[in-house]
Amino acid sequence: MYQEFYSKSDLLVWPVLALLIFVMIFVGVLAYVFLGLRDQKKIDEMASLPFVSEQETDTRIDPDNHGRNEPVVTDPAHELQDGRTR
Amino acid sequence: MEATNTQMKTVVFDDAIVRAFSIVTVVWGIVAFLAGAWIAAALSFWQVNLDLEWLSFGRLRPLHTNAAIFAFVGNGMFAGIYYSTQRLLKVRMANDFLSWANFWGWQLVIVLAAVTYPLGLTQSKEYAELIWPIDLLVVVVWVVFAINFFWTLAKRNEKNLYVAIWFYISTIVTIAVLYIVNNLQIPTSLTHSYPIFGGVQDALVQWWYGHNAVAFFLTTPPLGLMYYFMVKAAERPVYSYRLSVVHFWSLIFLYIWAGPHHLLYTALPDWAQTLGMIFSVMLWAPSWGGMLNGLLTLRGAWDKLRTDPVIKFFVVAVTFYGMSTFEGPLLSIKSVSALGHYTDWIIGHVHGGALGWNGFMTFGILYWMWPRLYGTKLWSKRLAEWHFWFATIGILMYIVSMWVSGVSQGLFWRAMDAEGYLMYPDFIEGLTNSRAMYATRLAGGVLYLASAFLLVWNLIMTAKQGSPATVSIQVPAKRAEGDKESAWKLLTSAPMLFIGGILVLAIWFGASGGLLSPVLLAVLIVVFVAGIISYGLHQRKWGEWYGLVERHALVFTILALVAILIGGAVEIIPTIIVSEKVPMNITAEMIEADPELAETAKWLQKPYTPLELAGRDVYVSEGCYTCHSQMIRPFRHEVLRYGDYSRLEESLLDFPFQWGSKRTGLDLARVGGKYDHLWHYLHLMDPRSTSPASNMPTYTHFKTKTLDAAVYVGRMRVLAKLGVPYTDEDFARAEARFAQQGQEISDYLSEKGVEVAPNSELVAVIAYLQQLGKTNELPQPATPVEAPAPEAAPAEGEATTAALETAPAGE
Repeated sequence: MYQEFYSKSDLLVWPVLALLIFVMIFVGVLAYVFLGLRDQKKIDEMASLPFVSEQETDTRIDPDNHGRNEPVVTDPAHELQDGRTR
Repeated sequence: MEATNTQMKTVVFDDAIVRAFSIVTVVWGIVAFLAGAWIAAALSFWQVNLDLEWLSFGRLRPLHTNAAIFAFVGNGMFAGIYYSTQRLLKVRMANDFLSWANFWGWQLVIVLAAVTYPLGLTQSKEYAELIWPIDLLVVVVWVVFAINFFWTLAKRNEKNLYVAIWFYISTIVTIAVLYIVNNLQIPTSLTHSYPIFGGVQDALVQWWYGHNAVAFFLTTPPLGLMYYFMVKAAERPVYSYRLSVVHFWSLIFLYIWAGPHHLLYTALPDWAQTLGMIFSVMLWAPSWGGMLNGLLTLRGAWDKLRTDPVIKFFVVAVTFYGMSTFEGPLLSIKSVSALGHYTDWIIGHVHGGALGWNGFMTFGILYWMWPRLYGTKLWSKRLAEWHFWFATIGILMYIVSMWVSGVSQGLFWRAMDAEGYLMYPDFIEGLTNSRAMYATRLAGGVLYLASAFLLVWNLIMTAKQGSPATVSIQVPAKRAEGDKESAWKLLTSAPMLFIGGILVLAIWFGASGGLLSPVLLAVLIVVFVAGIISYGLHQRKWGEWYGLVERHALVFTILALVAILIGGAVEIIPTIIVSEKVPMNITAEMIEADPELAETAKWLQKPYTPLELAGRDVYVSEGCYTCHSQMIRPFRHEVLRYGDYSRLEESLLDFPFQWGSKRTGLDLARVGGKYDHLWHYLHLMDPRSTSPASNMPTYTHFKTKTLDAAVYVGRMRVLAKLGVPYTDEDFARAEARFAQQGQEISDYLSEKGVEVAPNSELVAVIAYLQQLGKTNELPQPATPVEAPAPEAAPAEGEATTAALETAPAGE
């Protein structure tokens, strides 16, 4: 069948090559993710980024207070349950 | 903006821009849903077109799709990105002026689109219908957004780039590439242009863009938003960070290839169709990986589904994402596409994605974000619940009715009797069969629209009970530099050299045509194995490398760009080069030299006469392609119904191509000569007079609007630059031919008792329709003539060959 596929033009080798490139890089990404990425602390750190700013020092400026900062809890209950990511 | 103390500084987020984008998201959402409900009503009740050209289905359909995609989802995307980017990077957007330029520029684009589409100013490329001056504005606004975003990345106070930011980066770079390539065009006036690609090339580039507008405007931004807002709403980190890495890279690499699945069984070369199908099926895996990552983020928090409407919206949105990304690959399988393509099934599929996935995601984000933007709680959870249920029931009614209607249409069109002939030869029977489903679709759409007003009310009341909040955070005064590693060092490190090596080897093999050479293949395998071994020996370093790439915005952007360019280039470049080998003009001498060209010449499209070209431009501007295809697929039932299947050569000179994607009406690829001029006149003036059950709008304005022949001479010159074989003689005689051909059609109609101006749009459209599918006469080898007499130019008024060829059938 592949002879038929290539019979029209030499250029048609490119899609197959690109597929091979994808497969190789995909395998590489999988290898990195499941073999190389073993630092659970780093994984947790990356996965928890959306919570970092508020866990630290989230404040809101009262617009009627001419810019004076007053700490305000914008998102209560930020104790993450089952916080470990995979 | 930033006040520093000894060790910490305050960063004040710009949430005014988020509020502005949120408001217009809702406003344009209502407009988009209203336009959708209106055109759905027009398909059920043709009278809804109101016999006004500005409100015809063909003109309003692009308004609906563009409003839904770019105005509703687009503004929602900007709101979400501006909100989450500042928080994830712990920095205010880089430049307030650029943020507001982005906002007002985008609104201007939307307003211009809303004005130009009803006026019939369009390129007729789906989701890229905007005329060229607005295209330029889109590019400027997008560049402004990109500068602001990447500048913000450069100024950030968080060294790591969260997964949501990766998706935003890929969106920005890919949309820029797609939009520019698909809108390469040559203007002929301030409001008109021709694309530089024609026929099959235009089809491939358009659907490479069209599908990836879905991918990189309607999928990657909401996915990025899902990774932020769903996580925030669930108050849990993403289920699997590892899965998000695989999800991101696989998705952006695979998506870019999937465009040709919109062109299965068309005249697109088979290899491109097969590639599109294979990659679309492969796309299922990363899509579901992302969906599962989203849903599993709710692990341990499913109880919130009962009490929190935001979680409800997100869960249903992600479920619709899973459903759409299952249905998409399914429809991309050629045998399934054979049934579903051109039917309402596709309409159901896209609405599941746009209203189910994108719509619910946007609603969920608004419900979560809006109270925080006003420093208060949501005014009424109960109202949000009602919104949720009405919208869910509405979209389900819509989708299910379109599934039923679409599958019925597919089966109806292909039904054969025992003798192998069409069981339902009259196309209109299929439409009549779908009437009940069209009414159900309309009811579902109206319910979805009505439910959006509950959102509006809830947001207004929420804003009223709060006040615009200004949120700030404290960050270390010394900026955490994620980009401190040199880009050059990262790009020349071992993993990158490994990837680059494979790319170079692949290009080398490809250029030498030696992919199948065992030696070269062995080299590739050796390099790959060497890379694996190197990885095994230096695992930590390789792991660190990717960790550094993740923090380096520039390198990350370059790699994302390379990933999307590979797929696009590999599909488009061969199609362009291969198509170049099909000459646009074949002479008898060329056939003598290469007899194989005779088959090509037999099907090769003839250049349009000036009047036909004018009629075609009217056809394009009316959006006729939204209901009529011009591509007969190689199936017995299509050939029996419409005539011989369409060849690539037959639309080579079509700038833009008009293959279409939906058949609410018949395919028109071979309609030329099937009916006489009077039939077309009656059909355009009142479609019910020739097809009693038709839902087509009337086109009475064709009769009163006239065309200037000189305009089309200019357009012919532009087309000549694009390769259409017009000669100097064609230009010299163009105006006379225009008048001549128009007069002939006008005279014919006059004989039948109908008076129409020869330069009317009606006559031009009839001229265009009458030549559709007329195959070329094979050029005959020139007979030697001793002393050919110079051919005298025909006098004005003398019948031309082209004019004679458009004589009505039966005449």
